[in-house]
Amino acid sequence: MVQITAMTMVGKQTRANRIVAGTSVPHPCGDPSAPPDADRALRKEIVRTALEVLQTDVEQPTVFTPKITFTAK
Amino acid sequence: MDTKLELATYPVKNARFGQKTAYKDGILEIDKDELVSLIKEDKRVASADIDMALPGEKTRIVFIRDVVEPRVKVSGPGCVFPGVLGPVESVGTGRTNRLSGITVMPSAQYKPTILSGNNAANAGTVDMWGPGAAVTPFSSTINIVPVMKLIDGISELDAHTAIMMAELKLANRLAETTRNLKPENIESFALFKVDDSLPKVIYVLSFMTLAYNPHSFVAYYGYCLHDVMPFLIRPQELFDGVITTDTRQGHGRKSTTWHWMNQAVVYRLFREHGKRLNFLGVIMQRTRFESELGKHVSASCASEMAKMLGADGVIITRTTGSGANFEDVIMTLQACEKKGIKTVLLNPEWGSADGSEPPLLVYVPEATAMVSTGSHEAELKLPAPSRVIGAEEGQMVIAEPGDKPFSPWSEITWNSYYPVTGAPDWFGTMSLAAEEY
Repeated sequence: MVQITAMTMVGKQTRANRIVAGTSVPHPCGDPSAPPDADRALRKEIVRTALEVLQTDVEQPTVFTPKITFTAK
Repeated sequence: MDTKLELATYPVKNARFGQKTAYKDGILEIDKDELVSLIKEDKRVASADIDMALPGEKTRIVFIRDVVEPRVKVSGPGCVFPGVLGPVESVGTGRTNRLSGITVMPSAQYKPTILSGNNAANAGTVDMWGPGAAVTPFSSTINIVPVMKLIDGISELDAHTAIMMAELKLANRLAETTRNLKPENIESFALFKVDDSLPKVIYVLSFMTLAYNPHSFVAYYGYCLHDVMPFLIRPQELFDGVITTDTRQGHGRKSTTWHWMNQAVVYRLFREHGKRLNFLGVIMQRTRFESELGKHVSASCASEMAKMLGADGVIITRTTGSGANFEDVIMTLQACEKKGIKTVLLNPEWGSADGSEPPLLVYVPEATAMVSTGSHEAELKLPAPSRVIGAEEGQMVIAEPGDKPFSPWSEITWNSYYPVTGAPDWFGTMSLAAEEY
């Protein structure tokens, strides 16, 4: 399983194995304030990271950061 | 050499309504008509009255939106509540008079337009006697309660402004009675030069605001701090009311304006300055960033500021409950520790009424020193009062949108202290103590 969250510390505390750093607390998978194309690219990258991470072995709760530039507040 | 602020105290031992507004020998006489007309100057106020609650009487106050201590500036630049009651001038020097043992506690009702979530208005309750009195500082103060109804169709920000202006104008008027009188005592607050071997301490006063809130929750010189990075203040500024809060929210979850102007940790750090420690200043840290980036930058900025100022130690506290806010605070603690600054978190506990849940949201190895101010999730059983201030006969009270309405005339059981204004102990001022067993 993989958890996408903007509060990775809580993900670790709850012992989620694979944690993907999301954009922001209310919008972990995108940025509605961004132009539609940018938001779509952002969402795609986060979900792509999550799918890749699902195929990765981990020994303990591990945080993975998508290859994105954060713009959200 | 730092300029000092003198805080002159005029204790109020009793208060009563009378012919004129005056303070004499510990008795505050209040001309009700004068104060009511002061509130009614604002066209956003549809109706207003003023009531009073004394410690020990079987009175329950409801629809509380905030609490404030009457203070007035008698010398030095600016005014108390700068940016709100007067122009922005850097305050925290000269002399400020305070009426102690008394508060202005607005009870207000209006039709909210935000009906759910963190940005919605909420109201607190205070019992002046019994088990409810034990959990809040506002049961041992004489409370002057302006009871207000606001006009129909009022916006959330206007509702806040109307309540705040009535509250602050009233407090200012009451404190004005002390202007030419001799105080009972004067305390000086200054960050004078001290022995260099004393440990240097910074207080990181972390508070929560919301980027999308009509007010933000916390304003500095009247400026709403929706989304800011940490900044340094002269700690004496706090005693002159530079922080005002969202007066739509009087629920115990929030720190009231009274807590900000009577900042307990700042008082104590001043009193220890030159004795046990060297108090360097207060870093104000806005928290509850919604992205990890914001959280990391804020933690980095606050810790770097503390390091630049030469801090050996940091004390960090919070002003309200929130998971995202707690994470920011813990990240700041981690960042300080990583830079070699010993950091202490002073914080209340959660853990549910039966104590079976974790008291804190997250635990990190860097958090090696924490001071607990007790759990506020114990059951609170409140007996029926003899008198209710703030509600009409038979009226039900909804403390928060979505909450079950309760009758203020009846017995109440809550499984948390949150509904009581001032109850969660954010700064370690209350009498709860921990015992090893």
